[in-house]
Amino acid sequence: MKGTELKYEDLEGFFKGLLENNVVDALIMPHRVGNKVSYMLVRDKERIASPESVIFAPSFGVNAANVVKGWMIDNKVGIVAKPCEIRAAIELIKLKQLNEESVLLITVDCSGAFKNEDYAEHYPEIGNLVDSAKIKELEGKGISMREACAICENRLADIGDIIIARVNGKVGVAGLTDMGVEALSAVELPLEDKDLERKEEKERIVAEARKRLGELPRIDSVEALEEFLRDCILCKNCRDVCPVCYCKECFFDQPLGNPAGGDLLNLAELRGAIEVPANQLLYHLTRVYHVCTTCVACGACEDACPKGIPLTRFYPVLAQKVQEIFEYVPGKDAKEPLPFTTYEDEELEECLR
Amino acid sequence: MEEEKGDFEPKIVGFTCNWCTYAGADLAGTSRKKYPPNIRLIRLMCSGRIDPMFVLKALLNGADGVFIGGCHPGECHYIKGNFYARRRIAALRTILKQFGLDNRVRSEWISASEGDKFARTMKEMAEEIKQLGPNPMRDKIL
Amino acid sequence: MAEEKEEPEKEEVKEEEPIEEPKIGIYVCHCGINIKNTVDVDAVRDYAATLPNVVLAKDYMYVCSDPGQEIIKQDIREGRVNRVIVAACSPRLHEPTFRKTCISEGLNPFFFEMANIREQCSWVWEDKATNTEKAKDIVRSTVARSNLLEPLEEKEVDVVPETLVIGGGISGMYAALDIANAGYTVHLLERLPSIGGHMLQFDKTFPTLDCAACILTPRMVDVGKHPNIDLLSYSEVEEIGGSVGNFTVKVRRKPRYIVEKDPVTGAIVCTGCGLCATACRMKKIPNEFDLGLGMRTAAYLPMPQAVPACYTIDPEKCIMLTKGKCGKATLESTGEAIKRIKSGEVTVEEVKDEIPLCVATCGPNCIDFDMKDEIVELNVGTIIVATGTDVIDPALQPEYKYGVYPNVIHGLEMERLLAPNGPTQGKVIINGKEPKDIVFIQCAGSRNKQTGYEYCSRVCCMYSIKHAHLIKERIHDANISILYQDIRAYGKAFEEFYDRIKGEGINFRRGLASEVYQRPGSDRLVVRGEDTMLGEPYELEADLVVLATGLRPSDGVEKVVRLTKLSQSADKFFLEAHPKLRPVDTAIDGIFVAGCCQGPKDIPDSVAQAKAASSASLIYLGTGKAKLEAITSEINEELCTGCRTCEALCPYDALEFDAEEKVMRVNEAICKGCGCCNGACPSGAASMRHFRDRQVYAQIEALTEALAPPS
Repeated sequence: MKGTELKYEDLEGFFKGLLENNVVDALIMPHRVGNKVSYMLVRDKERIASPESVIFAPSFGVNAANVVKGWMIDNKVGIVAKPCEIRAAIELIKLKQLNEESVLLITVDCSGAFKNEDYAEHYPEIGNLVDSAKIKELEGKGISMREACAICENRLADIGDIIIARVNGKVGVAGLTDMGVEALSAVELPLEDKDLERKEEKERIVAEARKRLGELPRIDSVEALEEFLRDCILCKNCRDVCPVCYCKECFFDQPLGNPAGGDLLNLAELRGAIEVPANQLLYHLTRVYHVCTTCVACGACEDACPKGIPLTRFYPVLAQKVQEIFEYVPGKDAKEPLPFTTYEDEELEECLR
Repeated sequence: MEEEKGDFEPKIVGFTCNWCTYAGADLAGTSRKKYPPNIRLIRLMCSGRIDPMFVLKALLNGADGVFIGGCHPGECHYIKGNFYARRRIAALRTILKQFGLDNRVRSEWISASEGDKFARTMKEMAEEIKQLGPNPMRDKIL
Repeated sequence: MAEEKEEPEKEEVKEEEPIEEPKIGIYVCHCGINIKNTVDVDAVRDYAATLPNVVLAKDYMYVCSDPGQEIIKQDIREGRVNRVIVAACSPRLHEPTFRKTCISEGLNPFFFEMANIREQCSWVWEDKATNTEKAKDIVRSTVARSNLLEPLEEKEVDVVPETLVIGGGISGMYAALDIANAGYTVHLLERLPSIGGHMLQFDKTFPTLDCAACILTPRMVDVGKHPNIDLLSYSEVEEIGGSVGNFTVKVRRKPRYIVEKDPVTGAIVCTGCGLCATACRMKKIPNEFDLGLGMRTAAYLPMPQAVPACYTIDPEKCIMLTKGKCGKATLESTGEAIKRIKSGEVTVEEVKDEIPLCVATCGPNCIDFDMKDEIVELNVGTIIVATGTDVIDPALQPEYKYGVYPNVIHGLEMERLLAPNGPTQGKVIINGKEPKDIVFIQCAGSRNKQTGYEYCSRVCCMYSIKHAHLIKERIHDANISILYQDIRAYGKAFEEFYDRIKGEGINFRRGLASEVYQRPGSDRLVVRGEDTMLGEPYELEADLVVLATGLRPSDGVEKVVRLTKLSQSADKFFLEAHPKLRPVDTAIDGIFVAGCCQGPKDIPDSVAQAKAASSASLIYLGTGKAKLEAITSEINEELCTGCRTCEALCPYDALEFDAEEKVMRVNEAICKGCGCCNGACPSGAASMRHFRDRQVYAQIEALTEALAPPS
């Protein structure tokens, strides 16, 4: 890959340059409001200030991909976000909910994140960026990373058009696609061959993530599933914040999936009694099937659950099992077909019976 | 029904393609192959029409087993519907496996000429599900 | 009963309502004793009567009989029922029967449903009590579905009574002849200058040893002269649009630079006299028909029996066309001189330095170097694809040294060496002399994972056996070995032929060669391998090695795939609609496949398939109508997100993306109603008529109703 090394404080000039040189018409990137980190859509470059203090901040609010979902526009928007968010954006490109040509995907290394409210609350202890030692230290103080982040194997930026990596006290910036390299050239970065693979570090992260995944409580029976979803009130927030749920009108908002009135009475007559609101289990099982190939395991569903159901143990964990049988990693490459749109002549027979 | 108790008779809902498995089931009948009467088929034109939600719906409604039948890979009446069906069912069963529900879902490729295989599959499936016992969902208000 | 009488009035009021309230009639059939013996028919009938919107339930001995159908007809006629369920045998048996019953009384046939209580109930278990329960479940599920059915329309389109046949080999010719003989216009397209295909390259045909040219050329003439056949030789398909009944096709006619027919009168202009070829300066061009074993000129007829018997000037070889100059003549001087000759201003002799030799010698004056591509537009009702086959590249197995040693040749080259109209006039001559030791290596290219051609090519065993015989005829003392892995003599009279040739002293050895190399200092070849019968290695000396190369789809296949959107099977041959039952149909209505483009075949199989394809075409041409599937998919634009997942899945390319509205659209003329799109659509925007989500859900609910927890 082609790239260069910058000092942390050079990032401001880089992002401003993208706007200044019309590489993008706007940027979606993190900014800071007091202790809190959230996203801004910025068109005036002067509103970008010290991005290095915020783009690496271990805080997760919304998945940035969910913000741009369905923006089939001609303007070019740069998205500066964590790997899981860019992966979701790439899945949305495959699902034609995002125009590949009109986004410049800039992936930033992630150290794992805290829920945005936890981050804001503990900002003095957490600071602008963390490393694994710091995370351990915080954990000791009872400040824990999001479960989705703890089991995440893809924290290092390795997808999108441009990656911004933290290496040896500096930042490595590199283009992964033609579009990315062109963007870097347009802001006149001195490009050279750059290896930001970081294989060993990746392996370490994967090993740690798998260990943490193994430690998670399993939902291993129907009873356990019912217990797990006991408090679900079918608010469907988990769906609304999910970056890869993309229907105009969800099946579970349609009469068949969300029966009401007479339909519900008829069902109650057929079955004697039915749970209301109806279809709670069906909703979650169907939804996990719908996102099973595209789920990027960002954990936004869990953050959004008003009842505190640890949905990471459900959505990403189950989706990963499915992704394994298709040997599919969502968000790796926008050109790769979605597993349900392709097939091999001989495959998967062992999964059928 | 009274079958909840000792002599448990599973209720199995089947989704089959019109051209192969449904016809295979017909052939089992025409050739008077005997198999236990636990299965009720829903006829679709192609296994590719099967939305895994159908399977979930049947299971959550208390069906003790769900059977899916299609043409042999490469022999789909609509060229490739069963290939897509295979991917969907494989994904769904992978999910269900986590809760131990996958054993209640079985797919087979049964051609119009395989009445025998249909009857055999139904026998096996009825037996397997008897071993599993009633679908735990049966007792639930869902 | 009271309800029945009220219903019609309700209808009057609700005229706006597209679908009237269901009034379901259920007819439970005894099927003699077939159902009645193991199902309590009365109990089923009484149970059915209690189900939602069931207004009447009857039973009858044989519902499918005339009086049985009459009961239903009467109930429809008298307005008692507007939906019909027959609980009897399989819909695969009598659904068409009862749909007709409904149609005869003006009821939409898609308001009919069958409850299969015979094949899937009464016949497969003996206990009457459980069977009766099962039958009730089946009926309940059918009623649930019936309540939600919608009327559907079976549309028809007119069929243009013409067919396009792509490919002028034996299959294309036979398909064209049958259709033309039935009185319909056929456009027969061939990309080469002459029809005839590979069969014309053969000497004899197995197993009967008929002379290939003798049986083929009369048919070629028939094609060329047939008043209903529009022969488009030296042409390529450029575009195919439309659907069954009316395909629009653009054909590019390549310029021959020799006028075949008068554009106005249609009279033959080029007489095929061949003086241009004799005169042509370019004499050393490898002849394609002889696979480069013989030579031709730039003005040429590919073979003496060519149809049309019109010469062609090869634009890549003629120096006038490549360099603009031939002798002293240039393109300009030639054009000018031809005009003056035609007007009678000058004689050929007077301008002989201004024209090339071919023009000077051409009596009818039919050479025209200014000829351009011509685009012909056709409208046809059906298309038959018969694009044939080519030989697998023998160099894919480098161990056999094809292309390295001139005395390693492939099967089709052997045909040309044996053919009386071939480069050696049928004498087997290799390296200037008659070979004595000849080794055939079977399965060259085929049945081989390395070459990528895993299939058996079906003709190589028999053609090698034929070759062995024909060589023996010419070289009596030839010592011939055939190295094989299995001899597949599966066809009519094949085994007998094999047996006969074995008796001619041909040495059959089981075990393919592992390598071929030249004996140093000579042109003799050594063929080494292992005899798997004896379990010992062999080493054979040979003057000639013939690789029995297999068949692959012809070079143009990718283009035809792109134009027609036909599918290919894993072996890259065209995919038929069903491997057993619909071997000439394709996924696209109105497009058929014939001959080797669908898979390797011998001549009789190719002809059989060609005649099948023409017969399938004639059904459309003869009736003039094409029925469109009524059960098609539909897109709910309110729900469609335009994710295009369904587009990727549709086996028929029936779904198109509307870039303006960002939603999918269904081409109902192409949709076959499999419902793959619906099965994949998360929001249910793609919805399969007659098998809609709500209709299937209702059945699931009905079948699981009894499983509700005991209250």
